Amino acid sequence: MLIDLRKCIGCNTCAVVCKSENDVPLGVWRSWVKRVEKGKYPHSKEYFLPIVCNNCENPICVTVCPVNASIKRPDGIVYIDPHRCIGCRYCMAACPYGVRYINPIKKIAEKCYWCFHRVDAGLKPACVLACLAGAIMFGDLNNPKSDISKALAKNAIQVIKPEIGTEPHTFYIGLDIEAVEAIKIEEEK
Amino acid sequence: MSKRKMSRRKFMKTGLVWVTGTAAGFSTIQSGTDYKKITAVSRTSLKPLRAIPTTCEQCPAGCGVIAYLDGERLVQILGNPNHPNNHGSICAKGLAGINLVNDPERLLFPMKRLGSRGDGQWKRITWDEVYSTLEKRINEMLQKNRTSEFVVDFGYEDPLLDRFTAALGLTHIIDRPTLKNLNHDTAFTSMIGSPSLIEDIGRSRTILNFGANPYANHDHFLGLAQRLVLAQVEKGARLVTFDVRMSETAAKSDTWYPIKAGTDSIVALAMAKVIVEKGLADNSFLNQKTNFSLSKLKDHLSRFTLKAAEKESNIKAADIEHLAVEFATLKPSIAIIGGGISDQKNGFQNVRSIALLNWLIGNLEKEGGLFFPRLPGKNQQTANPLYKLRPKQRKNFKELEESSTRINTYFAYLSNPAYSNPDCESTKTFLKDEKKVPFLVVMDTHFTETAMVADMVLPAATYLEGWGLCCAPPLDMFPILNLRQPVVSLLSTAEVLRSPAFEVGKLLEPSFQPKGEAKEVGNFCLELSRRIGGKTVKALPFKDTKDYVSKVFSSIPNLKKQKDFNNLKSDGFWVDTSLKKYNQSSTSSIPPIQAQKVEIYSNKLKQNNHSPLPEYQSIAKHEKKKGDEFILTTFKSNLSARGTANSKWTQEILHENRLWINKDVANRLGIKNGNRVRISSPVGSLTVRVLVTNRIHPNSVALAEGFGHTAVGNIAKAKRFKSYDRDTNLLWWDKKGNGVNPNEIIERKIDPIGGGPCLKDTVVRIEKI
Repeated sequence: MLIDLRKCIGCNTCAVVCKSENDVPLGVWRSWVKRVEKGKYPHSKEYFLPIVCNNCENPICVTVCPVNASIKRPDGIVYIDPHRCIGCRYCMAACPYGVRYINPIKKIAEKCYWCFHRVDAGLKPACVLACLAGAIMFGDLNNPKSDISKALAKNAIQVIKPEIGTEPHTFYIGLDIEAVEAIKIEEEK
Repeated sequence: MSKRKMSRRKFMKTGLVWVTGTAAGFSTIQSGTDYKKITAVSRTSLKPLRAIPTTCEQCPAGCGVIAYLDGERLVQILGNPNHPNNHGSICAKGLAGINLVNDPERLLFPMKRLGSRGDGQWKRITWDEVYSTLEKRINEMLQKNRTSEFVVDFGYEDPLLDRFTAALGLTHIIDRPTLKNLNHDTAFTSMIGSPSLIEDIGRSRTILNFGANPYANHDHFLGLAQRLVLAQVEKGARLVTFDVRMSETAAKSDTWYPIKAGTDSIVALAMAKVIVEKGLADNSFLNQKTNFSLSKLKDHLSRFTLKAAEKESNIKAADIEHLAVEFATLKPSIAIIGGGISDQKNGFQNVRSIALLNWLIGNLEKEGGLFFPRLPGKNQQTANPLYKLRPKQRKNFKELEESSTRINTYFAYLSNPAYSNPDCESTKTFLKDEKKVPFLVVMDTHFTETAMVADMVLPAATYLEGWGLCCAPPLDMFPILNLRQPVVSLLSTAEVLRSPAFEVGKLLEPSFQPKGEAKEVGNFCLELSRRIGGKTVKALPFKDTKDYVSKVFSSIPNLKKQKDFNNLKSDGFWVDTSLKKYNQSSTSSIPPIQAQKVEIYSNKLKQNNHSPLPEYQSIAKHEKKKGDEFILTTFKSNLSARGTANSKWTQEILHENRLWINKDVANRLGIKNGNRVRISSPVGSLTVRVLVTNRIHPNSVALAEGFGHTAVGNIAKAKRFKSYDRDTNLLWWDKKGNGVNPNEIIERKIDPIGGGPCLKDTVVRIEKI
């Protein structure tokens, strides 16, 4: 998945469409938009940063799961088997991005899995379709002819917290380093 | 029999605006290869979902959407990938339509007041009782020839309601969608005879944005934002925003100029002076298509020097100058206008001044400029509720309140004056007074603040539960007709029982209402007219709203040639390609400018002793403002709309409005982020938490609209409760509260020329508590 932050206008459509597509209860999110303020008046600036699961190449959550409920599919999507999960929250503690939550009804861990029920049916994830500005791109990274591969080859891309070595698969164009720092500070608090 | 047929046919000719046809032409847009298939799968069963195309009515942008149904239940709304305006996208408001339909707190039955007004005691009544009560009152008014005492106040236009009011000859009509933009609309009407133009923003290179926020809130929101993003990112267009606060659009602009509130027009006029003096103006356009020559304009503009503009607006003279040169040379360029500058005491002249910038570079019917709206059918002016020239008898609430005219019945449809009027407390008092308003009927989807003081409350169907045919804004200069069709039937026992969220135990709870009786306003008007009889029933010769839609459909010759009704139902929209896209010579076919010139100099204004030319008028009360006083500006986030007040998903993201205040000012006043302050104006005061930010001009404070409901529903009031929707018990922001309603402290003033409300120029005091 590639998120072009130059196009993101912070409209929260991706956050809401995820709620309806995946039936996410109130209080928890699989996808949301961070707003970061920067600079002094009158040269201030505001950044929008949509967050979804990175579906990492080396997912720590899969490594730590004691019951093998977190699984990395061959196509790279990391998902949680709801029948295996015991809700122990190890994965939540391990995830460097804080994208997992415990479903308050089912009491099991859940997260964004790029709408694989749609992907399997040959459709795009809900947020990709809904995005007002077309800022989110989704496709097969192994296929060099796919739109996303071309876009990745053409643009300077960033990921969040590359130093951890998880190799995230959610790429950003135009990610502001200070905006990410602000998120890190917020998380540490 | 034959007589009746004749009259009906005659009526169809004159009454239905689409009857007058256009030249034959065949659609090139829809036919062919780029038709995208519409599918979605259920997350649980992995079976394909039933897809029904319809039109979103959360805002006036007219996006084509697809509603996806799992069995009978509405589970998802996504954009229609084939719709030319939104190209398959949707916004958060549109998605909140799911919440609107499935809301456990919806008003589902007609109710009658018990006890005195505002007590909150209600008795359920039948629709029959509703009709007979209203019929009696209306017949009484008709007999005494006093239909002027029947006030109709609507928040969303409905063609059948329009017909009904016209047939009764009502004169007191409060048309909220029009009143909202009145300064803007009258200013444009005074110049070009059309209240609104289409901004071809996607093809512009330089965009000057004065107080508009197309990235969050615009009448053409989604389609326009999409085009602007593409212009900015893919075509490298330059966007410059003048706004008192950093709106979403300002955040994404190349440069944001924090401007002193109410001084936009002097900046625009100073820019105009630069353009004229440097010889960058489009001379041939000014001579041929406007009524004011360049030399006369030079004289008029000589007063607006860069120095004066800098002094008034706090924007550097050098910046104004280089922006003016950029605007006039890096074409196509466009200056767009938003509510931030039109909802002021000098709003009318503000709009005219900024429109002048567009006329100086000949920006009419030009690629990347301003266009007259194209509508299906020849009769361009009346075809679209969004663009029609407004009848004169429409009044605003202030006039109604101040005039001594008697009111017999006040009917509010999807309108909530007790919340949304400026100075809403006094509106509430007015509506509550039984002497002034003897009978108040409210038709809405929820128990709104106005409904709480009403005598009778009627359940309205949501836009996803009824039929409609309306024009979408033609953003690509092709007229678009949207079909709205029911995607969920009005709630019935069987459906509630079938709903997966249903719990058997709930059947025994007295509050659980298994059956709904909501009605479309069109059907309500039709039934009422049948009861009243006489000429009213002749003016509405339809069985129901579906009958109306299919009759309008068959009266559009071009459309009938290309599609049958079932075809339209499966597409959801129709594009009339018979009008050519960019054809300057064919503008004569668009009535408002038939051989007419752009009136930079308006004789009508001169006759009424107003300045006939675009002018800067400073706002007196802003100049007298003291150190601890600020100009309150309000704004709307892209999550707030009438239909999302009780929506769990949008309220979860944004449930509280904080008062934006400049960081330096806050430091001076000793206010910290999150502190509570009292904010008071001549009409009232509020206690609100503060957001200390670098993103606002030091002279202004800002407060978002659409919060602080005292009715509508528990989600709007930020209260946790149990219902058949498990989410309502998971509401987590109940301790944070639901914010404040800025309308309580906004003065009810209007621009004396434009007649529109001054929502954004109230002077307020701030005290730390």
